[in-house]
Amino acid sequence: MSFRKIMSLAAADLKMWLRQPKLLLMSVIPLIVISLGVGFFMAEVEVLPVGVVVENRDALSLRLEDEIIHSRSGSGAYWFAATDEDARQKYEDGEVLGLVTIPADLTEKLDAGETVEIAIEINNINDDVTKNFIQRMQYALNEFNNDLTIGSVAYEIPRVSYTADVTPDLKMIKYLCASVLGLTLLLSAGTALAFSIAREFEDQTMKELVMGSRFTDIMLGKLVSAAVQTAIVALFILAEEGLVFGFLPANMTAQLLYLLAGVILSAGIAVIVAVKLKHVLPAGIVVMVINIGGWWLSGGLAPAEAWTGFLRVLATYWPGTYFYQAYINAALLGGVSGGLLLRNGAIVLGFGLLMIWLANRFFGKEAREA
Amino acid sequence: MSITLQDIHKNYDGMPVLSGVSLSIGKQNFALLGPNGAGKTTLVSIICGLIRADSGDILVNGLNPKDHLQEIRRKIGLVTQETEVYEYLTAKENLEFHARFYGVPKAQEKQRVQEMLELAHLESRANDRVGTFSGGMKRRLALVRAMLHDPDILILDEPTLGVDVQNRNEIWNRILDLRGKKTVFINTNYMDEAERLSDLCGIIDGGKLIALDTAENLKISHAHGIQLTAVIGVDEARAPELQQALARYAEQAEMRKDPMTGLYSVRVPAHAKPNVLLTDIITIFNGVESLSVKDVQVKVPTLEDVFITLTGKKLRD
Repeated sequence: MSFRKIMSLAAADLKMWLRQPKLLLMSVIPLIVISLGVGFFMAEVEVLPVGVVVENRDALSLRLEDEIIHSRSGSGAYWFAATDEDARQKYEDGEVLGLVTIPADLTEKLDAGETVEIAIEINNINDDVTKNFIQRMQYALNEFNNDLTIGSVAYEIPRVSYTADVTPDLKMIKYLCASVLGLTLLLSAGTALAFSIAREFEDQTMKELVMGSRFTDIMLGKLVSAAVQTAIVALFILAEEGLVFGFLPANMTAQLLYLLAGVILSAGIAVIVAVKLKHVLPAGIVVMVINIGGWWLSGGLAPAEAWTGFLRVLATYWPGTYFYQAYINAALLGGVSGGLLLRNGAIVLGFGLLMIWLANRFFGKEAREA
Repeated sequence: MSITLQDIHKNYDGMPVLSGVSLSIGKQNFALLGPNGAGKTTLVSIICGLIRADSGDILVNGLNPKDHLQEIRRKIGLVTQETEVYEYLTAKENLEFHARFYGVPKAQEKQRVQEMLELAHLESRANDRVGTFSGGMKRRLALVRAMLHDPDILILDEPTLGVDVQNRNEIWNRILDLRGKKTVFINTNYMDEAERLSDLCGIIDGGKLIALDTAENLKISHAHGIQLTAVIGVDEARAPELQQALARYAEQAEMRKDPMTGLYSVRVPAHAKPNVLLTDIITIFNGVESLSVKDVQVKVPTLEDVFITLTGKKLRD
């Protein structure tokens, strides 16, 4: 590996990029359009996951759990039974956006004629969902209270109320700004690499590179150039979001880490597309479709946990989901738990490096025969 | 500085592109002449290690590309068929990039770049973007760029393809400057280029190397060689003496009398250089009393004639 070769290729690549205003515009404009578009026409969020924890699985507690989980009212959440530890971990990792805990002393307090407080914790990532969530809790508890007869004992209403612990109000636009910034990192890196490598094929300059160096040096040179281009485009989007929506990521230092992860995640696929198509325009379009589609699937408009059915399965297996999950939480909250960072980082880097390895093989074969 | 190929075979999708090509080139200019699709570029790609031969042995500077690919590539300067220069970089930036990418020592970089700009007569356009250059200027830049890292072997694939006459002469002069100093491998389908630039010339057709010699020897050995024709007046009594002398010189020499004019037409095909043939025949004529020469011509075959003789088709068919 030669540092001089890598840096000379990266520098030449950057000069050419900066001297072609159309490429800069092609990198920045779609993202600004997306940012403004989703910002002004916010997405509807239908379903978010809420864990229901039963601390003491006696008859009354199970009945209350059943009322909450199977209530016919409210569509804003997917409620599921969970253990306290599991639910808390998922809540902290951002996978579960609400947490209901039915206390161990529910029956005891009801028997004593006391009002029982049910603790609800809500990550207020979306106003609509939060309202829906609370409405559903009210309905479920009313149902529970209305017919509170266990055995021969009839309880008076209301016996159960709740206290909600809602995180500070988070406007949807903040979520979208963070997600568009995440998209910027992946899309810019992907298009930068696709444009750069496809151009070498299109202008038939590939042999000059292949004769001069190993593929690894060429790949690294292109990656360095793509990272710098991504940083430049991200600055444009940051400025746009700051000026239009007043948004700035909670932790700017972490942006560099995510920029690197974004380049690694999107590089391999972009290189494979570029070496197969060998032309700038089609390669750029395919990479944009993959990245924007992946962003939508991975939580671009709402957390991926909001998907149901097939899309949920697809999102689970799409590595971009894990990038956006960590990135958006970090951009909004300033950081994520170590466990989530480790797991998601391993998935993103593992997949990214695997694709880069594959891309290197494809690249070598196609470049030699170019 | 050498390239040695032994029985090289290469197929694409079952179609033979190269069939048993063998040749050895030293520190000389070698031109490989052949029509489009003859296998010239494939052969160059194999020498550069860009593609692998299906079978056969290759040695570049005594090294096998299978084991010493990077080392061999460093010794080669390649100018491909396409003028592959970065159009959004200036001429100087293109050369600087190449210098760094091909490992020219940092201390020599500036000087080498300046030398190459001067060699290509592009000093005054050094800071202009290559996109504004003519095709010939780009070609000259590509040529000096390939020479920038001082490779032992220069491979030029159709170096003057689509270049005007003035630029072509410039490029030829640069190539001729290298004669005897480096191994220069030139792929071309221009006969005059092969003839002018080469010390050794190969003719390839259908993936087979069908002839290998100097351009001069190829013309002598093939296409019926060089031919002298003359119209002479000579006494009828001296005619048999002359005919015998010509037959001794060249078995296939012919001499016919034109009954209308009374003059004799003489045709002497020979495997000799044109000036030698002319001198020899004039000497024979001078040895015959009362012989008068009305007209004399020496027809020198071209490499195109050689190609037609060898393949039965024209070079550009």
